[in-house]
Amino acid sequence: MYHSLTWLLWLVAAVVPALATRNPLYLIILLLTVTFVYMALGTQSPLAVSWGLFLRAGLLLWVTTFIFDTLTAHYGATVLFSLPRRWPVIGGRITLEAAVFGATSGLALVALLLVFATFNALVDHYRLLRLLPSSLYQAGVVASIAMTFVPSTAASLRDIREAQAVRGHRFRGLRDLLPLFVPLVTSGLERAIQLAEAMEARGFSRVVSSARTSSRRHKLIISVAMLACCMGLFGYSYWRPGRWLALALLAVGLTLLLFTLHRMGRGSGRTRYRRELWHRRDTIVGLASGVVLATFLALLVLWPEVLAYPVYPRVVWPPFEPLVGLALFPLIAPALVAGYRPVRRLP
Amino acid sequence: MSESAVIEFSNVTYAYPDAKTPVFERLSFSIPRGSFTLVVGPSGSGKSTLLRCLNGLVPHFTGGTMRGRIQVAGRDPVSLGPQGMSDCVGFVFQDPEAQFVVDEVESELAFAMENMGVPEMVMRRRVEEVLDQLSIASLRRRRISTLSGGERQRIAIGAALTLQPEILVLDEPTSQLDPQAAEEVLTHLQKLNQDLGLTIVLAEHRLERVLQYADQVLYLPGNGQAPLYGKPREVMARAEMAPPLVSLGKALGWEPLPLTIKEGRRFVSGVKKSVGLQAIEGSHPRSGSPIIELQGVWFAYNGQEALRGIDLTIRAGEIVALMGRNGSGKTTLLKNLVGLLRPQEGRIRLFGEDIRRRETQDIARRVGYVPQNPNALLFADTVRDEVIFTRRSHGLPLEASLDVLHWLGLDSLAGAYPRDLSTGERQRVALAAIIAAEPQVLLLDEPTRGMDYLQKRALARFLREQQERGLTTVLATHDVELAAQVANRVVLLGEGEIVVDGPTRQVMTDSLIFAPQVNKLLRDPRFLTVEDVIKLGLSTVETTGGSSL
Repeated sequence: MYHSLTWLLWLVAAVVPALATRNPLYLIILLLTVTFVYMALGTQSPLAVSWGLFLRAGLLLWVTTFIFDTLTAHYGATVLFSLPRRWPVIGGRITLEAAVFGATSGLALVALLLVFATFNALVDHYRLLRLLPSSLYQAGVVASIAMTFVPSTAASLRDIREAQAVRGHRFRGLRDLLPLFVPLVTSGLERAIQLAEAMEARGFSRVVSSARTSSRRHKLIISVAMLACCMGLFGYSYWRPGRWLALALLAVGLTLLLFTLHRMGRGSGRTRYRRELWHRRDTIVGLASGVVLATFLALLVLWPEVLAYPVYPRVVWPPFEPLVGLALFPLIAPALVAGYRPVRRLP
Repeated sequence: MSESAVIEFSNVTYAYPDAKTPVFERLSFSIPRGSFTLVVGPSGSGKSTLLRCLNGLVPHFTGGTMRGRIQVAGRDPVSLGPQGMSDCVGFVFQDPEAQFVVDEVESELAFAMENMGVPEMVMRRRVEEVLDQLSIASLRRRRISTLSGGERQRIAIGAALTLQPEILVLDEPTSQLDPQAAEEVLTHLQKLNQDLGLTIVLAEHRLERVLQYADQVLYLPGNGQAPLYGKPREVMARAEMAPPLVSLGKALGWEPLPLTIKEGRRFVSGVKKSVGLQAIEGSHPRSGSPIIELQGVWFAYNGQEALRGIDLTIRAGEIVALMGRNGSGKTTLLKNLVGLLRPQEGRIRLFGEDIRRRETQDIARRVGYVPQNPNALLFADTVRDEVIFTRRSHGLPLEASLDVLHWLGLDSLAGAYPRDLSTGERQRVALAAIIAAEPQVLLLDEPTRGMDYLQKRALARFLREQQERGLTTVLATHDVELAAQVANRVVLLGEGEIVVDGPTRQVMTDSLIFAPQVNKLLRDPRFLTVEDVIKLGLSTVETTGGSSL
């Protein structure tokens, strides 16, 4: 539907606000936007079922966070009621502030989960893996095999359980795991060997052996780049005065890393089938995501108090800045411009 | 190496590591360019090993000792290994599940080309060509996990073809498919051979389907006997393993031996009507007490209906063959009978008792169910232990355990590790592990997967012996010949409903898909198998004395 890169951009643009704000009003807008995108595009996707699972997991998480925070914080001005002090952990004052804090933190988690759920339902995982630089190709193949192995292992476990049940096998203790476990492992190994044979017969090891020749210099550069990234992150978090320097270091490290991976990929002698096409709608969604991302990053750095929602010591109605709320709307773009796709993907 | 030979073995001897005897000894043959070669032989006779030699998987993957010289397309697979052979030998494996790397059809087709560094434009063109050649263009954007077995196997063939190999090697590509899907795959292979001149080397059990396409046959008898190699007719005349038509031809002394029904028809002028059906039916248990009763059974997987109002009564001592297309509900029906699945509507009674509240483990005490995939069952260190495990689970005495191995001719394998055995042998061990509980009803799901003619005949004999002892059997099978040999009754399922239910001879006669070979030839309900002809006397078949072909 969209280019995988477009979806990645959209994901980042949606994750940043979910992480940046605790203000429930913005979070609700974000939730609605993301849900709308899923409803418009994702319901026919083969992974649509997983969206519902994510939603249920999110609600469970929300309830847990809410109850946990409400009962354990004991801080804040508006006391609702008190539990006997003798009770461990939950004993003490139960405050409205703690409840609101729990509810908003939970909401932020739900928003984050739903953003990932929507991305997961909409993106084509195999195409996403193809975005990996050629030098990381083997890792990509491993990941794509793993994706097919999980469902097939689940299916074979079901077969095994049935087969042992009809032999009168009952589960009574750890020893009884053996008749289930042994066939599962041996079948898995046998399948792995067959797959290895099949890949070998189709020339996979050519790639492996040519990738091995990548020079020592590349490895050195990668190590340096990773070190720069780590130092940058560390500096940004713990060394306030040098924040900008740390950010610059991070940027240099990342650029170096990507550049080297790209250079290594060129030497692998492998080609790629069918690059994904970049349509005009990808540009539109990309731009929209860029706007959201830029706005929220700028707010975070320059004007962080707009996004914050302090509930302690006394809770107030969350402030609402219409422009910030509006800044979330471009995230809806995938649902709006998908209408004029030239070819419809077959189910 | 002669001018036209594309594959040449000279004095090749190969033994697996730690094996006492070699798989083949001083094997020599040569395969001409553009021909269609069939590799046949009992299971475990070294067919797969031989095919794997062609692209270097043996000995590169397996180790072992190799002597002699192999030349494939002018290269030496023993020194180059599979990666060096991958652009001239395309390989398709038995199990359509286990050979895919990417779950999307187009990407899967392109995988090998990407490894070879084929330019993008060339890749696009070749993928299009392959999609058309195998008529799978409509599947291009599908997930492989959503395809049927036959479609998957065609994709595997396509994936091997995109590198434009000179030779296509297939290791029993249809053994896991139903007859319709197998037919599809084999038809496409024949087309590739005829239209493109692709050299094809195929290992296959369903001889009756491919014999006519083959230019030569390599017969590996196993057990250290000398292999046979030559024209199909010559090899079939001397080989122990042959499709029913050829066996009949041999029994009646037809010369030249017919390989197709069309050729066979020239020998038959008619059949004598003098002998009645009773002579071959023997004692037919029609009036036993009802053992399995289904009344209006409905079952659906997540809203998808698999059984739609099944009414069926099976009596003691019957052998019933459940037949029908893939997905017609055969396996679902069997699983409902042992309580692995529970019907959403209707009732099932076993031995007159409703099984709704009974646990599977209880039901399994009297009803043995052998699932499709024997690998799901086998876990013990020896075949003997598998049998003992079942008896212990059911709380039966362990003394009589080994009788069942004797019945199934597995005495010699009692100490073997089950997973080392061939597919056909594993099937039999799985059967032994279930029969060990001494059930009164036996349910078999595709018992002949990966079995050769001899093993099938042995299974048929076993089932009939057990029938004498009072065992009731229901087998879900695609195998027309097996059903013709053992079943008294055939139940044909279509989309979860019973389409036909009747005596085997009546259902299988004059049917386009379900008639066994002998019946297609003689077109008489008295003759379904070669045994029928022999029982009635060879003279009942009137022959024209053999016209020239």
